[in-house]
Amino acid sequence: MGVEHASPAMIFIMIVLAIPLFYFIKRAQAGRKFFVRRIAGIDAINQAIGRAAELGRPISFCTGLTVVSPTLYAVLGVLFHVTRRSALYKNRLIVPQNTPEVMAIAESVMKDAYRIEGRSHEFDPSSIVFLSEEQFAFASGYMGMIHREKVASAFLFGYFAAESLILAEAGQQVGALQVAASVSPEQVPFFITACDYTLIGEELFAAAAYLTKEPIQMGSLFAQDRAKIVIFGLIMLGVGVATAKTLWLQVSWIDIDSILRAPWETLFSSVMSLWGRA
Amino acid sequence: MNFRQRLIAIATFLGGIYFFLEFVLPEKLPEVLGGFEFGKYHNEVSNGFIAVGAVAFALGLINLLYVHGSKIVFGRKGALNSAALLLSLFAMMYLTLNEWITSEKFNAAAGELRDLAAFSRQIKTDAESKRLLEIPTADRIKILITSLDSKITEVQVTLDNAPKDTPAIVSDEATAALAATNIEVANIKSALENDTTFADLPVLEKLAASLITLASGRQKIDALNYKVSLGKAAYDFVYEGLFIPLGSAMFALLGFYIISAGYRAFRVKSAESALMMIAAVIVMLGQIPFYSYISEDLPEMRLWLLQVPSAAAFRAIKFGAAVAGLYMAIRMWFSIESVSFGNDSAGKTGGSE
Repeated sequence: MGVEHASPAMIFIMIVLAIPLFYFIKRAQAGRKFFVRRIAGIDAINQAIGRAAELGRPISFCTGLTVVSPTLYAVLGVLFHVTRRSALYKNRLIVPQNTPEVMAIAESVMKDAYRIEGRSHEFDPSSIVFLSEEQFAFASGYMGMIHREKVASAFLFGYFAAESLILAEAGQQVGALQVAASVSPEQVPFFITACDYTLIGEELFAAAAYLTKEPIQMGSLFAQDRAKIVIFGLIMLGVGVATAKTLWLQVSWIDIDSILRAPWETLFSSVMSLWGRA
Repeated sequence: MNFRQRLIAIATFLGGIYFFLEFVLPEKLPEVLGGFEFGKYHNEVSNGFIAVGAVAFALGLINLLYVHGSKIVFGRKGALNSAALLLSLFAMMYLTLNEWITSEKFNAAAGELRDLAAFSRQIKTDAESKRLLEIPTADRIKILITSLDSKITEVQVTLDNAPKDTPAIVSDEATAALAATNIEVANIKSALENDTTFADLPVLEKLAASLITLASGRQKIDALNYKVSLGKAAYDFVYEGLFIPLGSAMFALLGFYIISAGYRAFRVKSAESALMMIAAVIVMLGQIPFYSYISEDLPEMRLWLLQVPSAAAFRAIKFGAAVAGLYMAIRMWFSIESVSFGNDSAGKTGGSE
């Protein structure tokens, strides 16, 4: 069942989860070093860029069906890094697009990457190609482009649906080194079978931090790991309470579920009654 | 942060705070807190965002024109393909616009008859309530009849030009409605000649009813006329005859790709791939109808694999991505993210060493 309005408990949990983000970003900015485990798929990004430079063939970076969302911003972090490296090695980078809004944002990020490398004049806006908003028209456009350009490396980062395997197989057919990352678990198996490296779920969000070692991203990554530990603890607590409830039926347990789901009206009436008593 | 970045940060924060409050606040605050309904204008705000998105669509069009137009102008490799793409783009745009304009025209034509029906009813209501009006009832009826005369002629022409294969039920309904309208108009005209105050008000209700039926009949015949027109034939050929089958063909490719990807995936090269292969074989065998020849337990095993280990992995991925998404969203909201791209400080990080 969807949630249209948050309950007070949900807001409390959101605030509790948000605090570590600001705390760890501050600590990272103050110079604290955070450890990130080695992720083979992210290491392969630089390898793929290097391969394209050696072969003198283009690189493709596809954001799939990603719309303007947190996932897009995670993808843009990687695009920024790939563009900088491509600018440095004078690789041709092709960015096929499915959504006009994303195209405009991607273009801005790429321009910035070229500027920071001091090669603004080398940026070619026609490297960002709008193919189609239609899912399979986009897939066919992508296939054609990959075959014509004979890309050396292909990155598939973002949200993908049924077209994921079509895109990944196109790269496979031209012998491209492919790195894919998707937050959609349904598409992960397709990428694992057709790509050389696959980042699963949140690894996509960790990629930019891993590549750039930028304090904000590192702090955020560290905070999200801590938040997951808290959530894991809550899940274990829930499992424990649910099990205990079935084992000791005679004990009157606090109904945590009702507290979490209690609507605003309950909170207001409780506050009002307390106010009245005072 | 320069002026442009600051402006974007402020707009992002304000947009974010609106949607945040819309989600966290109750639909209506209690009366003691003013009873304010925060989400009262949510539809309008959402429509505003949709409008901005629609404007952004023009960016896609401009990009296509720029990328492919430059190829054609400078005669680069693939110029012929680019010309075909732009030609198809403009042809599809023309056909879709034609489809939209025509349907709007038909709706407007039927809408005029419905408006006249509403006018007829209004005259009756006003006359019954004996309201003092600037224009007397008889004069209002004359205006109605004058407007109707030209409309009736239009409908007659539409009926005469109806396609040959128009279903009898449609043409009969429209013809009967037209005849009924003509009768009521004739009745009103004769009543107006004999009675300048016009007392026969129920005839106006009858006229309104026949006009409503006539509007529906006209709309149906117009739609049939359009169906056999060249514009519709061209649109159907391009959209239903080319675009949809081509999309289906692309989707069908998936079947073949799954075989080749499956072949690569199921080569046992390590302990993990062996485990994956065993799981896949159980799931596939549990799915087929003659599993009972192998083992009666296969469907049960398949279900367990999907509902326990697979579902657990799915949830873990989704949980991780959701938490990461939440943090990314907060960074976007407070524009903490903007320093990652575009800011010169990014050049001092490990990005390109």
